[in-house]
Amino acid sequence: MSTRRLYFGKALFGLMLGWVVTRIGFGDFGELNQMFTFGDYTFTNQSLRMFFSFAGGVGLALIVFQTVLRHPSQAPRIHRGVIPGGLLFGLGWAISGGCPAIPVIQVSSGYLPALVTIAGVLVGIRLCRTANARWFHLDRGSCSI
Amino acid sequence: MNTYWPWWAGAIGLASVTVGHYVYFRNSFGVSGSLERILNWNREREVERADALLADFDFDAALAEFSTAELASVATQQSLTETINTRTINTPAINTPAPYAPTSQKSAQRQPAPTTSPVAAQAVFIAFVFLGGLFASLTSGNFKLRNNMGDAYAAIVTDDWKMWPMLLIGGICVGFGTRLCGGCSSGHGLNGCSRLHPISLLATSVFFGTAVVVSTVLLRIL
Repeated sequence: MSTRRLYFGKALFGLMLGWVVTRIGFGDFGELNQMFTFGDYTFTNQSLRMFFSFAGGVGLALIVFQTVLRHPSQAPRIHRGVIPGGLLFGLGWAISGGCPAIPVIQVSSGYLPALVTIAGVLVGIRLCRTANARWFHLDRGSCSI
Repeated sequence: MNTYWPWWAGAIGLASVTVGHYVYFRNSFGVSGSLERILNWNREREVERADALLADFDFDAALAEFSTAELASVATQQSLTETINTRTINTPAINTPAPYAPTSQKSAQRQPAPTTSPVAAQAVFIAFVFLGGLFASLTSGNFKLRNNMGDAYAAIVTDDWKMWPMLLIGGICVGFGTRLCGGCSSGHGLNGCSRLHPISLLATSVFFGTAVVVSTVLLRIL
């Protein structure tokens, strides 16, 4: 792939991801909480909009990958960091609204305190790298290549 | 009033990004992995420079040349070639490996290993996520500079000075947790689950389930 095509693609899909996630409402903590509690925090409107947006996106992509594209992909192995990592991530997601992309979206929507969340994310990433090199020694793999 | 997309539009949008990225790059994306690589910018650049130096390096030819040069002192090159080809070596109890016969055709047929996007491309991706969000919030009328996290955050979590350490601690948990489990909602959730990777299904179940429990506790109990 040429350099121009590479950077154009990264810019295009970054733009698309930011646009879509914002228009769905992930930058709004109230909407995000609604996805996790399946309801309105004012207890006036039960809505599954956010949940179905995410689940529907996964479902549609699954249909395409399993039927149309059908390219085999090598999945990283399950390791002992998956469950504790998931627990920590879920806790952080619930109390900060962040799932690394979302604090970026929050800042772009004008929520300046989300800069603190981003700083925390970067600190957490660095701490994990150090802890893994020193104690865990896990082959964590990554979904991003 | 917020005018967010209906659920089906959001689902189509997320699926389009996920599938489109794979079709374009033949690879998936993950924001937490991109951020980690950006944090290790110098190291990543070193690896990229080393890879660039080795990109055109013909390992087969180099290995053959080295092997020939090393063994030339033992026998003449012709007798060595004959010996290797007939697989008979008059030394007791030595198992010789199969002859290494590199050819340019063999090298050409070898499939290139998947390459990682340069770290600069990852930075472009994150920057344009921000820009995409900015354009979307500006055009939808939802953009407003504020020094709080909104009414919902104030009602559910906290509305005073405790917001700042909560955001920081939450961010640290997100950063540590995503890298510990090897992905985030985009990597494991969108990309991995849609490809039925067991690790992604497990990770998504755990972090989504945890978020549901914690959010419910925050909303209904605390």
